[in-house]
Amino acid sequence: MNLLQKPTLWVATAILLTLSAFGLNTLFPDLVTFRASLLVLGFIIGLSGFSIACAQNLHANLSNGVLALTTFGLSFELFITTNSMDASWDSLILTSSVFTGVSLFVGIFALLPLLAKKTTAICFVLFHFASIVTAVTSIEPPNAPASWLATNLWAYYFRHYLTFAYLNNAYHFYSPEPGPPVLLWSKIQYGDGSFRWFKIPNRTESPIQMHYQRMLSVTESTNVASSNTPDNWEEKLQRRNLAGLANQPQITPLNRSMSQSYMFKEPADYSKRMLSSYALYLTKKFTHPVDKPEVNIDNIKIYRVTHSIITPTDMSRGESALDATLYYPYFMGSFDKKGNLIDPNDAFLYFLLPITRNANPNEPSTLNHSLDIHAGDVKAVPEKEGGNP
Amino acid sequence: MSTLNEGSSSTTNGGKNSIFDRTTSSSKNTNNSANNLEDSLGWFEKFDRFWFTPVAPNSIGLIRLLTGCLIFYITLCYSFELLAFVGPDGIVNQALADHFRKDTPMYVMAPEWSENTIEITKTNLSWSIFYHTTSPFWIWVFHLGFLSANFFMAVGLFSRTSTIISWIGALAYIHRAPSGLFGMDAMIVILLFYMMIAPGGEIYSLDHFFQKMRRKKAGDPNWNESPKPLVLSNFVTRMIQIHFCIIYFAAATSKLQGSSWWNGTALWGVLANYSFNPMHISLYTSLLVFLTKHKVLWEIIMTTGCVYTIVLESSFPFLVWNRKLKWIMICGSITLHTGIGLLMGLTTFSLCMITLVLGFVPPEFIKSLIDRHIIGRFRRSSV
Repeated sequence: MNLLQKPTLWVATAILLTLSAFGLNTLFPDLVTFRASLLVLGFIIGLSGFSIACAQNLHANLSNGVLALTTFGLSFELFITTNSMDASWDSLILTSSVFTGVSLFVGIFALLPLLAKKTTAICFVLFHFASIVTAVTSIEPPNAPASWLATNLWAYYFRHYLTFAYLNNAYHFYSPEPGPPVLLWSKIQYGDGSFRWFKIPNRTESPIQMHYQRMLSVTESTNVASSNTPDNWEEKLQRRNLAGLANQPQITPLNRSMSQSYMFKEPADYSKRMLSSYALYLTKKFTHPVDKPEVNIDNIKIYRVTHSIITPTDMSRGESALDATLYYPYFMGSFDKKGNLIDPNDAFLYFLLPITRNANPNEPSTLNHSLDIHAGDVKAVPEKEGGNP
Repeated sequence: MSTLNEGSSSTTNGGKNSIFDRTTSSSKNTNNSANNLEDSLGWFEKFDRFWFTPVAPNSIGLIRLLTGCLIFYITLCYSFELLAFVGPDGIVNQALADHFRKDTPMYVMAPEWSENTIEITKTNLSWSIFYHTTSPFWIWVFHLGFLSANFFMAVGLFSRTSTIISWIGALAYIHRAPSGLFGMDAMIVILLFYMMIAPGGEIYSLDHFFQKMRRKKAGDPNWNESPKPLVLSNFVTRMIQIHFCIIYFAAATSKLQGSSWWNGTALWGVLANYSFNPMHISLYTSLLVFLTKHKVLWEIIMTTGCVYTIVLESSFPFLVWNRKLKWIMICGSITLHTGIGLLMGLTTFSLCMITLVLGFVPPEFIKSLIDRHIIGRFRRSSV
């Protein structure tokens, strides 16, 4: 067997590298990059030693004792790694600590008699699937709270494991109902009066389908609704309608007979922060208009648009899934170049800006596009993908 | 972990009586004797056989290979806009990422008869190298490092090391960029999690090839023999199978809470969703229009689709264990996910699900399929 096939040698090398990083941390704390490189290299070499030991053990070329020794060595190497990192690398310290514990456990496991190994393996299976079942059952069903037992078990016993390993999915795909997609339309307004629209997701701008899907998920992350009832609802609605009527051209008022949740969609704190971060991202992405590097962003208006699914009846009548009236835009706020919401008391904030068509069949079809009016676009509205220009 | 293999062959006849062996036996007599053997076993022995019978690592090897290809593709796709996802000024910027992991209160219902909730923590166990690496140069270095690990995993070079690093890499993106995640990310992490434990490099890998070459060089007359059955292969396969059953059962029961799955219109909500489906392709839209113009046909197809989905997802966890229905369930599942992949654009998600379903395919079948049809054809063409 050549030296490269000796797992203990790999782990010993890893320990030496990590000890060097530990020493550097004490003597030359400024050599961060070099230290980090040593730690990463040490980790990969230690892991390789462990992998070689596992493979040899599977082929009965290595005793359980040597496998355990290698694993304990890896655990020691990870322990030093944990203590060689700056406090600011907190998530990596956590990861390294967990890996230290896991490798220690695997080392002990290798030394157990067969029956104890089987028992331990089954205990792990039970814990693993119990945690996954709590992840599945701790989701609130429609119009009811989640199971108290499942949520408490999840929160106190399984949450850490599930979050760490990202096994926390509830697998509720397209349920209880397949809902309409959410889009994010942003109008970036520059200081010289020019502007550009940026919409996600967009098939033509996404280089591949995966990128498109991820952008679709980004829009969903802004769609977590607040569970709080808005204060002074009547007053809010009145302000919104009066502001709409005062606008030139007028923005369609909302009818009181419509449900509040339809007219007003205030995002939860998570989504508000996401919107703010997204606005900041846009300011970095589109800092200047094309060919005008001296001009800066003035503000960004963001609209969250629900694209309703066309009904089979409408499709059979020849209507398009891209009909502008299928889009339900909600104003998510105007943001400055630091990503801050400019006016939290904006009369239109979180309100629907309906896109409607005149109902009289005897008149020529005209579109009342509140979104374009609100955004300040005055030109005619082509009825193509996205509705507004 | 791997040492579970020791001593097992003495109790199970070297894997020759594995559960997978029984399903692929063509002889009636063999089937009968296997049934009799199973009937004669006690509950404990059956349980032991279920988890700890050594099986050939072909299924696990193929799953590793496919998982490696999938995670390579998934990681590669981040390259198009890497800094938008994991950069300090990305869609979820550094400050917000730190806020989510350090300062987001979590509540649970109080242990008394009230509506009160208790705040249990403000932190969560999210971790990622990209929380701490803010320089674009180093972000790209780590990205390329993870891509290399994914590639090594796919080709089966340093299989376990590359799988563990691929898992670390996948979670690094997932934790840092939570806003861009969808079902596929959950599925690939499940696959990677099990592949870390599994002896995935035992076959269909460069590790296996180099090992054979070493044995050949050493003059081992059995250098070209197939890898021996392993308990760990079976153990991980069982975990994948059970996890898959939980996924399907959760998906089915949650769908049953929705009225559209009962009245048969849910499929329309899936098929006519412009953002998900290829409705920009005129042929697809024409097909939908054609269906809407024929209401009875529309109703039949939509209702059949809903019933098919619900029946498959709810019955799979129970019927897949029956040797007569197993292949129907597997084929049904592959059909469902092929449909999702083609019609909804969720190709990678569907491939992840199909890879998970491979956990139910007997290793003997995979061995025969790959050895006879792929490797055999390759050898014939080389000659």
